[in-house]
Amino acid sequence: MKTLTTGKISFQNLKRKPFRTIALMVVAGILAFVLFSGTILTLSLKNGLKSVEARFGADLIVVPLGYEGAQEAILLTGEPSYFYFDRTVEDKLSQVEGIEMLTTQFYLTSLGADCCDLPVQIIGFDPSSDFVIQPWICQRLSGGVEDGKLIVGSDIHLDNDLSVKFYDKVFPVAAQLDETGTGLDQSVFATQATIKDLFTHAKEKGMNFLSDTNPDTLISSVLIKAKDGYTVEQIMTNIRRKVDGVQIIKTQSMIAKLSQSLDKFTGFLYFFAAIALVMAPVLLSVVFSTSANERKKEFATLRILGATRKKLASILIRESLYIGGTGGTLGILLAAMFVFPFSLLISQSIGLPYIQPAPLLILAILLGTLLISLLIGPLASAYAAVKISRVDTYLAFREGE
Amino acid sequence: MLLEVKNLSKEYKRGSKPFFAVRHVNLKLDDGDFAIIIGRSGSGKSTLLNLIGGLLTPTSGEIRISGRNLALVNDKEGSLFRNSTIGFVPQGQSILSSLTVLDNVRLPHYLWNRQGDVTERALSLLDQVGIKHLANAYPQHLSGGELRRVAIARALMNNPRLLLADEPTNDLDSQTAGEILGLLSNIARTGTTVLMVTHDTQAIKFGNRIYEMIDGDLLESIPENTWSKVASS
Repeated sequence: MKTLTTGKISFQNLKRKPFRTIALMVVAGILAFVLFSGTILTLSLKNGLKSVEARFGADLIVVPLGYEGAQEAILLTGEPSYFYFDRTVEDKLSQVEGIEMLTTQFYLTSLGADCCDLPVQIIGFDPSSDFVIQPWICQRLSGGVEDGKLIVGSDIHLDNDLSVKFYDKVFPVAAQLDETGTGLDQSVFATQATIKDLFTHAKEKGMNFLSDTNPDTLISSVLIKAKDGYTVEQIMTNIRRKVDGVQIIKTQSMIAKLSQSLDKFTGFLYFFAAIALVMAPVLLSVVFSTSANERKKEFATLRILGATRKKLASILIRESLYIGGTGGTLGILLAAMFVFPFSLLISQSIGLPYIQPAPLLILAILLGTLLISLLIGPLASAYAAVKISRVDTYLAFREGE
Repeated sequence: MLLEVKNLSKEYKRGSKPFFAVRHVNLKLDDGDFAIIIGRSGSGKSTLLNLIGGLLTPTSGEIRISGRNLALVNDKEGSLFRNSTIGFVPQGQSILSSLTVLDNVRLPHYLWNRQGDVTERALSLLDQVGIKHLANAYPQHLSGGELRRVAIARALMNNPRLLLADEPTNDLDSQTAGEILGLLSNIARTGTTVLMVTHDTQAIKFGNRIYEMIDGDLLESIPENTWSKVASS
């Protein structure tokens, strides 16, 4: 038969009071859940924001009037959209003072493809002028992308032969990009020539919305890089003077807007984490203290049998360690089941880009949360442990009668 | 001599007035003695037992068990001494509800991280007190008499030289009380000194040394004709 250790005595005490034990574990679990999921969410969203800042090489994006929201949705959450204005806008913009570089893009949506459960955004770019997409394509593809081949975002599922099918035509994939946490992960990139090919096949498949569209005469957006010495506000004023019927998106404001949303969201997370961090030890401490009062006779009996004051404290602290450890582990598991499988859904529902931290950092957060959960129990039971160890055995035993 | 109590007093204050729960008590017991202290409720007999057991600190006086002065030990030494030399049967229910009967009996051995499996010894003690069949039961399923037997078995776990029993027959029917007293008498016969406090006069015939406690004073060898007075109180 096994020896009767302090651990077993503590475990038996918890086992014989299942309701109290489970209630205390739930408190510890809620704290671990809030801390772990809150930290992962906050870091993922901050990573997403950093990625957006790094990837948006343009200072301004010009789109048809009324399509600012659609453009932001394409870039941030990958919600597919298409809109066009006349290519002459590009010529007009090239005359505007203060512009260092500009390039055009043409948007198509797949309306369902073998690669994806949902329609994906297809972005056509002009390799001769592009300064936004090609710099990060170059990280994967030294010679740039050939016509007829596609570059796909990290969330696009590829066939075994590294191809993807759109409008019943198979396109080879030249490279798949790293995760960005933005809508670009669910997008496909093609050169101007390839987009024309895709466009022809889409039309052949009877996509009526393209009937009046011609990629030779229409574009979806113009991306602009400001010349040194000019502010984006100056360039925006210059554009408004020369070009009508367009909307200008300042990428810095878009990022600032994201940053504000992120601050608001993380503010909520910090608020809940702070409440959990304050409430959990207070609640646990009240319960431990109350139960220590109820258990005076039990502890007095142990003293009578020869337990030291230290032993009594260690029994109580061990109970709180078990509660913190088990509750914390369950809280972390539940949080992991919530944040990892539903990361895309979370990102879409809060409208912010999302990149999970590196596995090692996740492990560190997990261990940190577990450590806090383990520490919170003994911290909360410390007062009760001191109280119980100082109790007068004779009086405590008689009080319990 | 196993137990020597010299001029022991415990003073409390009621309001601003001091009163002695135990007053200048002297007591000497040898190995195998079965000493019984009878007295009214509030006479100070439980206080005296707890002073001897090291659970209360005396106001003055000295307690020596096996020659060791209890006043000169710290908490750790005192606890270990209590665990290994003194067996205590407290008044009322003192069995831990979270442990089985067997684990309650094994508990004193493991409180000081001693190695070795004492299950056989615990079962033998349970057999000795007549409840071996309840080894795996939890305390809430036991009667008052059975719980008192568990407490006695537990008190004997570490082969104590002194067994202190505080009202062990309280709340028990006369037959069960008689069985418990017989059990304690047998324990004394094996060489363990038993010191019991009670207000049950039925107990007197089991002890070889009888005392009476009145208002904190301990009177030795009370005459037989006064027993009835104690009983009627």
